[in-house]
Amino acid sequence: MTEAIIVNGLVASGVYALLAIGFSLIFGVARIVNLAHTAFYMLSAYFIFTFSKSVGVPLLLSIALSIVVVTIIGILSYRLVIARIRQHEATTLIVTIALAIIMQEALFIRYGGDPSSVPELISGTTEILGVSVINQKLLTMGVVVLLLLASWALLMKTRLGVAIRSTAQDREVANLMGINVPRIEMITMAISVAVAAIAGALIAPLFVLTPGMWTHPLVMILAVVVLGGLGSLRGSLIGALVLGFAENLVVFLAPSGAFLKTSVALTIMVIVILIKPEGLFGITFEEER
Amino acid sequence: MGTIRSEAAAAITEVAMDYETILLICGSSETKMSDNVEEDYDRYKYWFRITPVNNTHLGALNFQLVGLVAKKIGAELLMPPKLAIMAEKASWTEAIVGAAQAFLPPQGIEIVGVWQPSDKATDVTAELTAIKDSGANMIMTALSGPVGIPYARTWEQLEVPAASVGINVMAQADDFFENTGGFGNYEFTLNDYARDVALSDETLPFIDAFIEAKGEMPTYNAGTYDAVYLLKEAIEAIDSLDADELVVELEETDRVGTAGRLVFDEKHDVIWGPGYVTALGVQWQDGELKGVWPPADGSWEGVVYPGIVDYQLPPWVVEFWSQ
Repeated sequence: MTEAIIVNGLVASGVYALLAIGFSLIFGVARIVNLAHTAFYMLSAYFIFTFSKSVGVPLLLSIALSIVVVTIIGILSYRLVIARIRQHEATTLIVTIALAIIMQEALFIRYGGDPSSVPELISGTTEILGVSVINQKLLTMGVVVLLLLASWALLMKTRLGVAIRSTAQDREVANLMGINVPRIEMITMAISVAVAAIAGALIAPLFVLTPGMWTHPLVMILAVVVLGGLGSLRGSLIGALVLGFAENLVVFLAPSGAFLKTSVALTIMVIVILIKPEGLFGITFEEER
Repeated sequence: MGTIRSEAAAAITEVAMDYETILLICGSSETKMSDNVEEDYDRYKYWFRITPVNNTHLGALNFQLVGLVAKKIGAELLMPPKLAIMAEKASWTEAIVGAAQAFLPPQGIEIVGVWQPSDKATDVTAELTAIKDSGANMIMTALSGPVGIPYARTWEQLEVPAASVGINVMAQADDFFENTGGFGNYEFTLNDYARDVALSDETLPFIDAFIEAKGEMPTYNAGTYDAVYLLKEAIEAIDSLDADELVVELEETDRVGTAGRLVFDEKHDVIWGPGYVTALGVQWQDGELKGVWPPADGSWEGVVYPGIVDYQLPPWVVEFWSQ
């Protein structure tokens, strides 16, 4: 059973980490809590479904097209809506959740409420420590690792990364140093939404497509980033590991309470926040001010 | 008329009874609702259930299907049945899970555990991995929500060596195979209709007309069609819309519907059993939904419907336990 918990816990953590990376990035840089983040992931999954099944475009091309289209929608959402109200945190929360609900209802009108699915990129299973793991999940984990490395390389090794980190540290000073802060924030938003779209391509084949599919992942990634510390990529990874393993432990140790797995994971998050309000790797609210 | 989800139906019932309005339940199975009619007839007499049969009968039906698979496992794999229960956490599954735990072990069916995900769970890999580890060779399902899709998909993807049998409402729909991405073959579920199985003279014409109108097979809650005619005929018979008079007329119902003969018991539940509504066991075989229960040999109460085929164990289950 231990092997199964370890393997399934790692896989579940990878899924949450992938979604949490983009969410954490845009918060870390622009202090935007984008509650529409998982709606972009949902949109990506539905675009892949449409391109590949309804239009007949090959799967890989459908994925590429979907990532591009969703990223453009994300940039437009930022420029036309979010950028104009981002100074007002509460308004940003309400507006981004409204954006998500608009996307949900649009999909509901177009596709109805029946569940559907996106094809897998790779099929089959692999035995790891005697546990069968779906290959699509292994691919997801691999991409999570690659995305984390790419994020680190982008932030630490490129001029754009320096500009993003400067903006994240002090928006006003970055502006005084000649960095085009609004442009950097928009680029960060584009990267964040593109990561959500990649998540849609990788994770959607594992889950079920419904117009409500964005809500549960949103709750989980909010918990992940709050647990790990808002804005911290390292924190997001650790948060995803804690909650992914917590969920799996509930299923394996208390099978008849499997429906409580999300509640238990969220309770762990609340307990950690009560002890350490800034999260495991976050900035204290006092420091932020 | 309506509705799916017993929790919602129970709430609607109270409002309908406050207004002394006829309510024909089509879609939810909780027996506590029909118990109300027996316990407080004057208030709840306006309540009737057309589809599905109540969850006590659903439990009994489930046991019939489980029995069929257990017999097959005994005959083909030469091993005693070991059952895992996978039931979403909802009001309607409580009686089924409780009854299974109470009645199946004395029948020689060992229960290795109960897994209860949310009806909206999007991933049940951990649950199925645990079931795989448990040594179960059968899984009894009680799933009505979208969880039925990831369940069936992951069950075949992981080749869990346990035959799946029970209730999976998502597997009743024609687009189940498409929704699972082509997985879920050999999923065995209770249903009210199968394409080639005539439960009454009305079944096949209704199925044909439904497919022509909707482009897909009807699922269990299509019994609403019968409910509409039931009410229409009752209103015409008494030439009145008076609710109390309609109750008397509906209580006398004896009508052949699309899913069998509709007669209400004293609790205003549609009667389940030979000669009445029986329901069907249906299995996905090579991408098609086939009727497999009641067995074609008439071994269940002598009931035989034309169009029934043999149940098949999933080949990966046979292969795993044969090694």
